[in-house]
Amino acid sequence: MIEFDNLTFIYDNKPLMQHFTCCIARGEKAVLYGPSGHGKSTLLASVPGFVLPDEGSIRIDGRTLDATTVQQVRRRTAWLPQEFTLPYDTIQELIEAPFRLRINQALKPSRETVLEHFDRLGLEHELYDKRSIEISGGQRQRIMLMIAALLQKDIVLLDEPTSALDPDSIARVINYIHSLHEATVLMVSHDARFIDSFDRKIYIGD
Amino acid sequence: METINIGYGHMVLGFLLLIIPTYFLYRYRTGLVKDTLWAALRMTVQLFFIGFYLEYLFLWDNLWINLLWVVLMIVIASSTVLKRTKLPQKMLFMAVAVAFLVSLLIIDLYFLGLVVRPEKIFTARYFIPISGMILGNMLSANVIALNSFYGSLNRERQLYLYLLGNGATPGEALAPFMREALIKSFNPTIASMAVMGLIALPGTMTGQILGGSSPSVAIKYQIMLMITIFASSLISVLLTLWISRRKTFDRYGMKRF
Repeated sequence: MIEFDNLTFIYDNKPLMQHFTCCIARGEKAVLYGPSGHGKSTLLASVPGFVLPDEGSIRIDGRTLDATTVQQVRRRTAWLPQEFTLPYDTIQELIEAPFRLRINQALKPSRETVLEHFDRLGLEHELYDKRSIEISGGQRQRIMLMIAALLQKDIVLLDEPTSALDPDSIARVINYIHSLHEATVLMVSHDARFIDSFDRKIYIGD
Repeated sequence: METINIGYGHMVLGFLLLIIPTYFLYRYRTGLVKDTLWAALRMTVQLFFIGFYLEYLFLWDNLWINLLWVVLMIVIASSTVLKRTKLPQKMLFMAVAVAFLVSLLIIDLYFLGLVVRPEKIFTARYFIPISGMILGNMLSANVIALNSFYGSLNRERQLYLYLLGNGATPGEALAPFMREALIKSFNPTIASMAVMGLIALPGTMTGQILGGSSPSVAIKYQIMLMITIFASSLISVLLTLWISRRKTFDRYGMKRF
């Protein structure tokens, strides 16, 4: 369970978010939505301790997030930030990178498993052998989402996972995220179709 | 055989060579002209002074004065590294200085104590010039490594967060940046070591030969010094990065500046 208790974030001496309180149950799929610049991404980044609240506290399964617990929390998270490029030449390297970390090594998926997930996300098998610069933004987004799923973490944090997707792919991604039964998923999105498909919608705005 | 002395007039002639690089640095607006002239001036004055000081240091040959001299060199080297990299002096000075001191002591004790074996390890004639040479190379290696490490961390912050957010320990998340810093810092040294004697006649060897040593002795010193410089630079870069990490990252693994 993720509890945000009375959080305030201040950015450039102005409050970005004030006294925000919310609780996300274990296994719940929640989407943060609302106008830009009101702290959705900041709230998401506060779960693994990348941004610290100026007031209030975050609790994960009853334990307050602080410098002593942050590493335990990060072991349980899969993190997919907004649009960004990772310095891996090939798709295979991109997929394998987080599985080289000690905590994830045992979970390294076989080529067959990856291709099976490619099918579920509507990705062609040839992509596996391509170079990173040869794929589109939408394909890259689905691959990154697949990596987050294959890491089999309790908490999956996704920042705009559908911003580059076509409508067909959005439907697949929605099903894919719903299939992560055990995981608590917290997402940021501006996409109405995506937002509508989740029961738990959290508005972040004025 | 007597070494030919260079007269002051001829030294001025030698300095004229600086006109060519300075012109191109100016023409391409590198902003390095002032730095170059200042560095050349400093180098000249410092070397004249060191020639003068060394006469006395060798004459006194006192353990404490020798050690104090080396500590002073470390202080200047550490401060220079931070100035060149534009990293915060207050935050990182001790990290760099401790890394330099520890790596220099390890290598000096090993090289002078086990390889050269003079009567007294800290004797001025060996301890000071060898420490100076090691420190000079540590300085260049650390400037490149620190620039690369903190520069790529700034450019690729998302990679760092991506790794942390997917379960990496702080050490694992920093490993790609450490790797890049080591490659950038040591590639040139490895390349120059590989062609030494073929297309490069190194300074120490040339100096010793000009000073009257036999080429076979000069070569042995050069080989040992290359190994020593390589090992000490690598140890100092690793120590600087490890120690500075404790200062530059908060307890959440976020960079402080």
